[in-house]
Amino acid sequence: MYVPGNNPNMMADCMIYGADVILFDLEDSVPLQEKDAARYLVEYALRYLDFSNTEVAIRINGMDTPYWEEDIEKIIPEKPDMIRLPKAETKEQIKRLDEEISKIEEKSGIKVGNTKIMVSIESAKGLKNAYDIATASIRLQAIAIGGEDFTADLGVKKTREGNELLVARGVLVLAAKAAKVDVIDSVFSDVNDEEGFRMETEKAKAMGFTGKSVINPRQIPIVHDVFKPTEEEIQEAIKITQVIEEAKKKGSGVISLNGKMVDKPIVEKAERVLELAKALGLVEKVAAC
Amino acid sequence: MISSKAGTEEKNDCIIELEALEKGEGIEIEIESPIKKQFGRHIKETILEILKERCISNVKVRVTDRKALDFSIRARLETAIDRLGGEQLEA
Amino acid sequence: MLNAIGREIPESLGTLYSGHMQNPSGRAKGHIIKLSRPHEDKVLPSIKEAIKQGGLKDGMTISFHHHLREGDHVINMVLAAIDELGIKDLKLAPSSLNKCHDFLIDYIKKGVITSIETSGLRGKLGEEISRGLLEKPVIIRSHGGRPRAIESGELHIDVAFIGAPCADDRGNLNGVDGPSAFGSIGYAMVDAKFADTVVGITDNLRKYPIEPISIPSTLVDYIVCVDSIGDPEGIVSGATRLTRSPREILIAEMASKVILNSGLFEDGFSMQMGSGGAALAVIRHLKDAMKQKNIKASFGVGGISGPYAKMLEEGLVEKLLDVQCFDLQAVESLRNNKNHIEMDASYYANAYNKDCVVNNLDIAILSALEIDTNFNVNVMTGSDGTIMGASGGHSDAAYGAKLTIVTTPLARGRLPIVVDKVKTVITPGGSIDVVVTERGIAVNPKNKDLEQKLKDAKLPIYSIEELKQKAEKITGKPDPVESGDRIVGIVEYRDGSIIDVIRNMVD
Repeated sequence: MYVPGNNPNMMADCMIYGADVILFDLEDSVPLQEKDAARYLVEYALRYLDFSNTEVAIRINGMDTPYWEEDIEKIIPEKPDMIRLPKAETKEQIKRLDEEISKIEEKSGIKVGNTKIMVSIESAKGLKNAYDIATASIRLQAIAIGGEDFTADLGVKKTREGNELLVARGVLVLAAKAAKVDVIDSVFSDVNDEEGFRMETEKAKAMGFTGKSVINPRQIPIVHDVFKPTEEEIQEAIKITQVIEEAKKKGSGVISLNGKMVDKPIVEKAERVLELAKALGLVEKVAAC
Repeated sequence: MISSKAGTEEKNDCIIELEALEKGEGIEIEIESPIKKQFGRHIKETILEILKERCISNVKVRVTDRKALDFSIRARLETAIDRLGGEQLEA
Repeated sequence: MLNAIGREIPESLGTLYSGHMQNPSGRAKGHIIKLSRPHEDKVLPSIKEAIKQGGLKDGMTISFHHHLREGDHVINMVLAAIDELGIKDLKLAPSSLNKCHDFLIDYIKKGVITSIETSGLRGKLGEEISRGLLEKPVIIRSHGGRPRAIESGELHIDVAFIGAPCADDRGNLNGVDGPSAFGSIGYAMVDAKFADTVVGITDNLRKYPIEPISIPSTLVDYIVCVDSIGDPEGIVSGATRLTRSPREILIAEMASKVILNSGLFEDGFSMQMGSGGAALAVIRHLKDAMKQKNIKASFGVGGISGPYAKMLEEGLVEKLLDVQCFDLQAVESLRNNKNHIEMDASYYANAYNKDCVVNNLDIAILSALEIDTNFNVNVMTGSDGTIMGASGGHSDAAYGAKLTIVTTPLARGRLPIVVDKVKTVITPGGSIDVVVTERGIAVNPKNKDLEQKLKDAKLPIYSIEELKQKAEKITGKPDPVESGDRIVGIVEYRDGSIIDVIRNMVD
């Protein structure tokens, strides 16, 4: 869930709504003359507020601005889980970001590599380089699409149906899967249009997105509901992990379940399903694998 | 007169205004807050702590508080100090 | 001397709260018997005339209801007339007071009003009284405690002024018709029965007999017609919208889960909803569960607002028992739906009758300004001692309900709501079962079974001490605000014993 980094009122309460990741924003929601103020607010929010199990990410300013370097300088020492880089266009940017973060981690006595990265692709150029970007750093966990800016780059209007972004979304998903990173869909601005939001979220899941950005707590339960694995999927996943366990014990090489071979992609999928189910509180514990 | 301001009038925020004073004039703190009785002392102590850390000994601080939490007060003060010229002031 | 919940009360003030309801004895006081003559003219030309004819003198007690809420004109008009007549040293005994009554400060300074007995005090009036404006301490009573005191004679009303949206020239009154309609006239019904003189003030005189008759002409001495008894915008809102605040919605969701897992959520359950945002939002969640499980509530109690009235309409609640309406939807429902029933404050919450509605409640959802680690609740004063709230039906509903839930944010602004010791106790902790905040739920240790049920349902259960620590972690620990030595308010529990005192605010 996006939380503007210059709004102390929203920042104080943001962690109670069950968002998986709180995304403090230093970029688009913060006017130029308040960039310095937002940096301090986010720094101290990280230091003094209790986020319990919620991950905290910070959207820094783009690398085409003079702000991003001070952003990470101030924020990394407070150990956010992730930095989100907007307007990513080339793998060189990611490498540079990675290096700068490493320098700061070292200076601050933090384990180098501790801070993860996610990037937002918001232009055609960025999309062309998506796979390279996604594989440019081991810190990188996810790529996302920045719908609003992307449609601006394409010179088209952003619509409720989203057909103008169909290809971009598709290409992004392909790049993410090839790079084995998560892929996050863009925000839906009309908070009152819950039906439209659900439709877009369902489409995203169907295309292979692994998450969605939200801008209001009301949108959180909808995302969780759409992405939650079904009872069948959970049961299937449990069976698969059990079969793997047994096979390991017996030391057999080829594993099958219900006449179908259980190979690596199936196992990985089962693990993901169970992890998601656990995170949503749908299972007590994940069967050991 | 060198002065600076940070923060907003929004709920749970505060406005901190700084005015650089002449050497030797010391620190003046003025706090306006609907919860002054309960947190006036906390706010004052936080301000003094940060001013000390930033090596600022001659400044007038005016806080217009709208029930800001501690992290906001710290952030707003630090921002105001930067905008005032930071440590260069005292040099 | 410490009372049963550890509050320091000077013994001279009266019986201290003992931890149990005292047993009453004796009889209720009666009204004056009077001869009414055929075709006599009860309609007087002015309020001044009514005051004169009613025989109001220095030192007497006058009463009003608070159904006109922030739109009230009646108290202002009556006091202006009293002042013109040079009458002084009166006891003011309204059912409650609102922010629009700040003008009373001047009348107090002038000596027109020298003591007040009420459920609530707000605005500048509350602030000034906290500082010591009144010589005699204010007496605070609950909605059930006030009729108790009136019926026993402790609070003797000489003249009751009843603002009535609809009246006839014989003195029948109701609250549901007219431009200033406010719905149930439940608080005034008690005054009408026991006051020596009853004056109805209306801006809507209709032909005799009006229908419905909420207060019968047999109790009313005089009628006065005025241009307007109140400002409709301040009296009732058009419609109560359910809150959109994500935090309140979250609290409501948690409170609903408590109800659903309490073992009381069965066909025929009864409930009282507070009027706050989170309390009303609980309705939204409960409705879905009720439809799913085919559960109907046998009755709902309030303080009724639109969303509640809608449940009646939808058949999710079979009856509504109504002591006051908060919006036009509720007024409309009371007027048109025979299952929406008007009741008076005594029937609602007076413990010293053979029944009161709160004794039959399953679930009550209430709010809090503060709650302490003994579950005592303050809905009266800010943490700095400013009187800014009302006792209301809080302690009454909490006492009677099987399950009393307090919904509250963990902190408001930078002030923690869960504290070591509340500034003023209105409802003792023994009546409170569960506290629901957006960051966790605490169950009164006396409810071990309930606690286990809620834990089994995977709700975030903490001790009240842990909730307090969570609150302080967010806000920092506030410095305690010292009060002065002067007692400016006496808080009566619903049985007339003294549960707390309010000491003067020091600047």
